[in-house]
Amino acid sequence: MTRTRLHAWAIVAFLAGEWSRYVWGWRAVGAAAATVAVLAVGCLVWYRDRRSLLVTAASLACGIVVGTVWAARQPAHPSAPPGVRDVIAGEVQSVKVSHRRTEIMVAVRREGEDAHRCHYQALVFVERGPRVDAGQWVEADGAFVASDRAPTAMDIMSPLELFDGRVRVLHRAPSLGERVTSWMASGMEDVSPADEREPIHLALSMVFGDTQGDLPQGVSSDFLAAGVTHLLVASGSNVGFALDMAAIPWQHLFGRACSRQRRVAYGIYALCVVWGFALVCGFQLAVLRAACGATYSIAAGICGRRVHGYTVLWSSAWMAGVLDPGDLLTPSMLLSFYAAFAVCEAGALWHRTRTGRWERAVEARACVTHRVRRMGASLARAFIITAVVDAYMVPVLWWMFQQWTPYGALSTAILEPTVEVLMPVIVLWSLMAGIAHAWPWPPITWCADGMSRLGCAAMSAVLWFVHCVASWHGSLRSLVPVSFAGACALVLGLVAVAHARVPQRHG
Amino acid sequence: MASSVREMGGEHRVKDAAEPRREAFWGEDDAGWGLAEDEGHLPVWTGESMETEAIGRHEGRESFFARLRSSARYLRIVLLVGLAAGAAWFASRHVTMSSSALHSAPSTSETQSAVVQGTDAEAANTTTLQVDVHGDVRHPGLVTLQEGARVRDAIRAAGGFLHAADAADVNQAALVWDGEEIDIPAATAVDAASQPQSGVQDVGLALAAASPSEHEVSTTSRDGTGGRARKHALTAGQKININTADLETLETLPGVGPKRAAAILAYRQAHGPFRDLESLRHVKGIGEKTLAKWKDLITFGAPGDASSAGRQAP
Repeated sequence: MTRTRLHAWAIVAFLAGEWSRYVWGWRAVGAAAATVAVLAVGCLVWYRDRRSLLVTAASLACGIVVGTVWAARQPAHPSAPPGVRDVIAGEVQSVKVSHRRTEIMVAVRREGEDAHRCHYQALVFVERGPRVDAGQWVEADGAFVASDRAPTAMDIMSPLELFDGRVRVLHRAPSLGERVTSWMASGMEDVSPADEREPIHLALSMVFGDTQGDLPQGVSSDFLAAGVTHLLVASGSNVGFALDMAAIPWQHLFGRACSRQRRVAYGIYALCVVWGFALVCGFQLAVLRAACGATYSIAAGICGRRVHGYTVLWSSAWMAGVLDPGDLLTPSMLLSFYAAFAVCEAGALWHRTRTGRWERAVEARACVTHRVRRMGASLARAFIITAVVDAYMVPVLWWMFQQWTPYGALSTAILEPTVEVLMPVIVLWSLMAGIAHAWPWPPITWCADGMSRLGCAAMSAVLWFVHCVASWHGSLRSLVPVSFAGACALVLGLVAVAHARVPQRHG
Repeated sequence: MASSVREMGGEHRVKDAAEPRREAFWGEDDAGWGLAEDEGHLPVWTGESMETEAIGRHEGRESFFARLRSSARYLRIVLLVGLAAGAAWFASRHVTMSSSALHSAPSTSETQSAVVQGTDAEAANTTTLQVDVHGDVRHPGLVTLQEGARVRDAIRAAGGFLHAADAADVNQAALVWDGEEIDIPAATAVDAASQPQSGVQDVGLALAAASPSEHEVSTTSRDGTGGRARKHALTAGQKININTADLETLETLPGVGPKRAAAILAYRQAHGPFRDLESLRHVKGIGEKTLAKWKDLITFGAPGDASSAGRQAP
C-alpha cells in the first residue's frame, strides 16, 4: 500500500471511530470498528502488509478517544427526553414560514436551565413569535418531539432533533466578522454616488459570503437558478484569494521565501492570514475546511514538501473532524468536501486528457490572433472543467435538493474568471471607501468615488448576466427524489467512467 | 450550486502561496487517491498511450485510425458529462410527466423536516407544483416548481418577462398553488383593457351580459396576495372552486363583497384549502344562511383540480 493510500485509510479509520462515538455512541462504534476491521483484514490479505492493520487499529483507537472527549465536553444529543420541558439556545441557520407555523433550523449550543454546552441541530416549530432571521441567536422554550418518520440517510449522518415551543431573540454583541463587514458596507454606501445597496452587498458577499442574509431574495434566487450560488458563499477560493492578497506586501517587503527561515516566517504569516480570514468569515464550515486544507499545505511548504489535491482534501477532512466532529457530515460540510473532490477529479481528468497542444498554443507567439486564441482556449478549458465538476455535483444536488441547473457550467465558466478579476477591485473599493470615510481629503474622496462607480458598474453587470441566465427557459429544473443509494450509485458510475481503463492488447 | 472551480483554484493558490516554485501539480509519485495514474507511467489504452502507440507504429504519420483514437481521450469527458446530464434530464422529464398525476394530492404537514433535510425518496414526496404561466412571458406554458415557490419563480421558469416594464404590474412575492394559472399582463394592459378585443372582455361586462360563450376574460385583479392577473372561464351554470377562486370571482357569490372575499382568501392562505362547506364557517362573517345560498354554487376541489382560476364546469 502506498504512503498516500495509507494516509487516507488512517484518516478514514480515525474519522469513523471519532464520529460514530461522538454522534451515535458506543454501539455505533462497534459497528464502525467491525466494518473498518473487515476492510483492514481485506487490505492485509490483498497487500500482505501488516503495517496497514496496525495503522488502522491505532487510528481507530485515537478516533474513539477523541470522540469520547468531545462527547463529554459537548453532547451531540439533547439531555432531556421527548415531551419534557427544556430550554435550548443557539444560532438560527435558516427559517421557513409555512401556512400554519414557522420552522427554524437552529444550531443548538446551550441547553437546559444551567445552559450547559451541547452541539446539535434542532428544527424548532413555532406557532407564533417574533420575526427571526438567519444569523440571530434565539432561545427556545418547549419540549423535544419524537419523530415517527423512518430515519433517512441524512438523518443518520446529520441527526436533527425536533423541538416544539416558543422562541425569543437573544441580543448578542455582533461578532468580529459582522462588525468588519458592516463597517465596510457603511463606508462603501457613504461614498456610493447613488444609493446602490445591492451591488455593494453583492461585492461583500463574494468576498466574505452572505452570512447575514443582506442580499435581496431576488438576487439570491437568480444566483440559484443560474447555478452560481457558490459565488455568494465563502469557500476555498476565498481563502486562496486572501493568501494572494496577503502575499503581495510580503513579497514587496521581504522577497521570495527561498531560505528555510524565510519559509517558516512566511508560513506563520500565511497561517495568521488564513485563520484571520476564517475568523472574519465567522468560521463557516466551507471556510473552516478550506482553512484546514490551507494549513496543511502551508505546513508542508514550510517543511519543503509538495502536496497535491487529494492529500489536501484528506488532511482537511481529518483536521475538520478533529476541530468540529459534530458538523463533519452536515449538508454544508458534505457539499464542501464533495465539491473539493469533484474539482480534484476534474483536474485529474483534464490532466490525463490534455496533450500539451493546449499549453503550446497558450505559449505561442504573442500576436493579437494568438492572444484571442489563448483566451478562447482558456475559456474552453474552464468550461470543460466546470462541466465535469457540475456533472460530478449532479448526484449530490439531486439527492439533497432535487434540483438541477443545466446552464450552471456555462455561467460558472464565464463568471469564475470575471469574479477572480473583480476581487482586487472589490478590495480596493472597500479600502478606498474606508479611507475616505475616515479621512475625507478631496483626492481620496475622488478616488473612492471612482472606485465606487467602477465597482457598482461591474457588480451591476454581474447581476444583469446572472439574471439573464436565470431567466432562460428551464434554468432551474426540479428532479424526482432520489435515494441515497441511488445517488451513490450515480457517483460510482461517474467515477468509473472517469477512471475506466481498457486492457491493453498485446501482439 | 456549490460545485466550483473556485475550490480548486483555492487549493492551488494556497499551495502556490506556500510553495511559489512548485512545478507540477500532479508530479508526486504517490499522486492520486488510489485510481489516478502517475504522470510518469502512461496508463494503458488511455489517450496518451494510444497516441504514443500510433506514433510509434506509423512513425509519426497520423493515420485516420490514429486520429480517431486520439480523439477518444475526449470521449471520457463527453461520457461523464452526458451520463450526469442525461440522468438529470430524465429525472426532470419524469417530474413534468408525473406531476400532472400528482397535482391533486394535497401536501402533508409531515414533510417540513424532509424539506429541510431534503433527502430520500419517501421523505420528499410532495414537493412539486405545476402552474400554467402565460401572458407576457418568453416561454408560456406549464412549469414545474418546488413547494413554496412564488410567482417570481414561476415567471423565471417560463423564461422571464418579455418586457422589463411588466414587472411593475405583478406581485412577484405571492405564493403559488398547485394547478394555478398565472397570466402576466403586458405593460400596456391598461390601454388595451379600454379597447375590448375579440374574445377578450372585461369581467364586469361578461358578468352583466351573462354570456354563455367560452371566451376567456382577462383581468388584472389585485387580490389579497397582491396584484396578479388570472384568467377566468366564465360559463353559465359553472360553479366556483372556492379553493382556487380569486377576489373578483369570489365577489360574484351572493352576499360577498370585497371585504368578505378578502377574508376568505386570507383564511385560505393561512389554513390551506377548504375541505367542505362546514370548514367555510370558520371564516368570519359566514354563517349557515350564507352557506345555504352557496351550497349549489361552489365546489371544494383541490387547488390543482381546476385549470382556470375558480370556475368549474357543472
